[in-house]
Amino acid sequence: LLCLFCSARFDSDGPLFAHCGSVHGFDFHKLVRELGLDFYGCIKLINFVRSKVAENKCWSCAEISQLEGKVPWAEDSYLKPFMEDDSLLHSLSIFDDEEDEDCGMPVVTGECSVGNGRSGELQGNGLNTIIDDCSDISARFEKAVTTESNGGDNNGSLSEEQTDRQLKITRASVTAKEIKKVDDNYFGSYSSFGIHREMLGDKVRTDAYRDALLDNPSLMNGATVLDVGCGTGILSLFAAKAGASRVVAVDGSAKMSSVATHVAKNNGLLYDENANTEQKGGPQVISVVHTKAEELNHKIVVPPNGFDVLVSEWMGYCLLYESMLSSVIYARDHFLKPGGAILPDTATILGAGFGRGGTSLPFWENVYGFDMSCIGKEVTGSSARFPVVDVLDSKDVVTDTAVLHYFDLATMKESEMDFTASLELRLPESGAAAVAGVTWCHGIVLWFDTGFTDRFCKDKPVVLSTSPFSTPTHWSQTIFTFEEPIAITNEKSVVGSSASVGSAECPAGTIRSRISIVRASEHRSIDISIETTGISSDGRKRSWPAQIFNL
Amino acid sequence: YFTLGVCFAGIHEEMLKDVVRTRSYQNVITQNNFLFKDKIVLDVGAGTGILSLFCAKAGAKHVYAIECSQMADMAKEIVKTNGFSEVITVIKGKVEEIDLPVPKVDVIISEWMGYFLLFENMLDTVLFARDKWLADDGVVLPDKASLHLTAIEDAEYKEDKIEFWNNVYGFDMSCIKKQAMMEPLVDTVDQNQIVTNCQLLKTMDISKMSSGDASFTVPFKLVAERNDFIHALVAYFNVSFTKCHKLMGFSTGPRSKSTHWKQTVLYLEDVVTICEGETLSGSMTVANNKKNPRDIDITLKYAINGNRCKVSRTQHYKMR
Repeated sequence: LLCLFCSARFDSDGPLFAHCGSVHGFDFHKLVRELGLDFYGCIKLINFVRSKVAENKCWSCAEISQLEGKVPWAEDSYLKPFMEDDSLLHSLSIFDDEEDEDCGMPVVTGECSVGNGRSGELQGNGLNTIIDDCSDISARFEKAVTTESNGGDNNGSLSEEQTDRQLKITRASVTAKEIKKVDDNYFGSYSSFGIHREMLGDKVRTDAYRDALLDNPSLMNGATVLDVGCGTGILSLFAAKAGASRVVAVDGSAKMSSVATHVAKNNGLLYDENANTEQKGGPQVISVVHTKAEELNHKIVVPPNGFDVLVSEWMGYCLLYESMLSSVIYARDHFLKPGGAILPDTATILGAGFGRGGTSLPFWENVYGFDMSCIGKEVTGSSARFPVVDVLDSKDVVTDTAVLHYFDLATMKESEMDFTASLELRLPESGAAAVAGVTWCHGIVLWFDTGFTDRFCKDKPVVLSTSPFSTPTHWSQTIFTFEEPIAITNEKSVVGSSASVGSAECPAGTIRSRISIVRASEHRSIDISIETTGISSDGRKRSWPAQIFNL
Repeated sequence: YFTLGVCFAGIHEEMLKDVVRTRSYQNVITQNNFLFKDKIVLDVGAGTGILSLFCAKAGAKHVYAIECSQMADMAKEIVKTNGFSEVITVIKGKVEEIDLPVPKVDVIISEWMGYFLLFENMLDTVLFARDKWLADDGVVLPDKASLHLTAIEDAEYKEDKIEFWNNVYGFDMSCIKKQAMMEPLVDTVDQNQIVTNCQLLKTMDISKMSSGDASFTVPFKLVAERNDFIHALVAYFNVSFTKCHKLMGFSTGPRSKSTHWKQTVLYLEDVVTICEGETLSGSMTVANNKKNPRDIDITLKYAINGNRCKVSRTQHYKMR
C-alpha cells in the first residue's frame, strides 16, 4: 500500500496511517472521528488527498476545521480511485468489525480461500501475493513529489475548493455506494442453498456443462481453467475430472467460496501448494478465491492472459439480467490466453409471437367481482414495468421462431452487451396454415440458447437451450405482452382494405419488433424497449408506441 | 436468479388466487357489516387494494389504504375504475412515514402474515399503526394469530432436498447438508405424513401485543399416534377474527385446504424412530436476527427416550 504523501510502502493500512501521522502530520483516524466519516467518506478522503498531493495542493492547513457543513471531498467523483490499482482502498480496515459475513464453515489454515480480501490475511500464504504493478504509478508520483515547492503556495488553493463545492454535483453514473448495495444483495442472494439446489437440479443446464467439460478431452486435458462465479464449484469439479492441470475458481460470495473450498477438499481435488512434487500431477488442482472476477489479480498471482480455458455459468433471465456477462468479458480479456477457449462461446437470443393463452389478462379482468384490468394492462402497456418470467406452453406459440441477436462470446466487446436488433415474426408456412380466420398475436416471448461450439469443443459440441419447445429450465422464458393484440396471417393476397394493419380486417403478414436491451441505471438491471410494427402483405405499415420494461 | 422485483404482478396474482386467504377476508367483511358501516378504516399494506374494496362495499365511511410499493399507483386506478374514489384514499408511502388526514381510525385491517407467520411479515408495521391511529374502542382484523407444531415422516422429500448433496453428478457435496438443513423449507405437507399430534406453540393478540412478543421460547411435547419415522418438524399458523359475530378465521395447517403460505418444514439431523405413544419433546426459540432484523433465527432443542431411539440434539435454522 502506497503512502498518501511519499513513496513509502506498507503491508496494511494501520502502519500506513501511523506513518502519515508521525512523518507527514496527517492524522487520518482523528479526521475520520472528528468528521464522523463513514466508509465511503474515507474512500473519498483518500482519493481527494491523493489528487491534491498530485497537484501539489495543501489539503489542510487548518482550513478543514473552518468548513461549515460540506467537506472538500464531498463530491461523488472522489469515490473513483484517483490512483490506478490503489490497494489502500481495498485494504481499508477501519470499519472492519461490521463487515464479517458468517460463513458457517471454518476456513482451514493452509488453504487458499481468502476471507474478506484484507491484505493482512494474505501474508504467509505462498499463493497470495499482491501484484506490484504500481511501478509506473510510483514513477509519476516521484515526479510530483520532487517538484513540490518548499514553503510558499499553501493557501492559494482553497478558494478553488470553495468553487468546487458550489459546482453542481452531476450524477452521470451509479455511485460506488449504489453498486456496493446491489452487489451485497446480489452475492447474498446466492448464499442460500435452495437456489443452488435448484440450479444443480436443473438437468438441462448442468448436463450441458458436464458434457462440454467431460466430453472434450482434447480441450481439457492438461488445461489451466478459470471458473468465474463458481458457486458450489460444480464446474471446477467437472474441469478437474476432465483432466485440467490447474483450476482457479472465483466467487464474489464469501460463504460460497468457503463452501466450494470444502467441497473440493472433500473430493480430493483441492490444490495443496505444500504438496511435494511426487504428489503433484494428481487431481488436486482446484484453488478457490473469494473475489470479484475483476479483482482476481489483487488477490492472487495470475500471469496476465495465462488461462487456457474460461468457463462460467453467467446467464440470467432474458440472458442478460444480472449483467454478469461484463465480469466474464473482463476475465476473458485479462486472464484468458489469446485464442483460449471460453465456455460457452456463443449466445443467441431468440423470439416468437404467442397467443392469448400466454397472457394473464383474463385473470385481472374480474377479481372477486372487481375490475383490476389495469394491472393486466400494466404488464402490457406502454409504461409497463416488468416483463413476466415464466414457462410458456409451446402450444401458445403462434409464429415461427426468429433470431433476435447473436453474441460471439469469444470476441465481443463489453459495450456490445447493450444492443438494438429486430425480430421478424411470421406465421408458420405449413401445418396450421389453412387455419380459417385470423391468428391473434398477443406478444413476444424471448429465450436464449448458448453454444459450446466446435470452435473449442471439437470432440463434442453442446447446445444449452431455454426454448419453450425444449425441456423447461430454471430460466423459463421472458414474456412481453403487446398493448393490444395484433392480427396476423400468411395469406399472400390481402383484400385491399382501409382498415389499419393488424386488425381483423387487415391482418399483418409480418410483425417486426425493434428491441433494445441495455443496462439500466440501477446496477445489474436491464431496460428493454420494444417497438412493434405490423406490415401487411402489400407493404402497408402500422406502428405501435414503444413499450419499456425493466428487469 | 435474483428475485428483486421479478414477476411483480405475479406475487399479487398468487395471493389473490389464494382462495382460502382472500375469501376468508371477504367473508369476514361482508358477513360483519356492523364492523364497517360508517366507520373509518385503515388498510395497512393494501397491495392491489382488494381489502379496501371489500370494506368500501360493506359501507365504510372512508378507507385509507397505505401501500409503499409501485402497486399503490395501480390501486389508485383500480379504486377509480370501480367507482370508489369518494370512499377510498390510497396513500403511497411507508406507514411509519406518512400522515393520515384523520387523528384516529375505527378499524385496522391488514393481511400481514408471512411464511412461518413471522418471516418477512408486516407485523411491526401493523402494531405501529395500531399504536398511532387506532381509537380506544377500535378493532384490529385479524386480532389473533397462533403458531403450531407437528412432526412428519418425509423420507422421499428429505432424500430429494437434503440427501441430494451426498452425490451431485458423482461428487460428494455432503458438507453442504448441514448448512442446507439450516434453511427451513416452505412446502406443502400431506396430512398423511403427520405422525404425532399438533401442538399449539404460541398465541398472539394483535390488539394488545408489543413487537417484542414476537420473539419467544416455548416448550413442546409431541406424542406419536402411530409407529413411524420422523424426519422433520412442521410449523404452521392460524389466524382468527374474534370480533366477528361468529368466530371466523383460517388455518394454514396440513389438515386444512392449502394456501400460498404452505407450511414450514424443519428437517432434523436425526431420523427419529418413534413408537405409538412415545414422546418427542423439546423447545423452540424464535427471534429476529440481530444483524438483519428481517431474518428469523430458530433454535430447536429436541429429545426422545424411546424403545428404539434415544436422541437429544440442538439445531439452528435461519430464514432469510
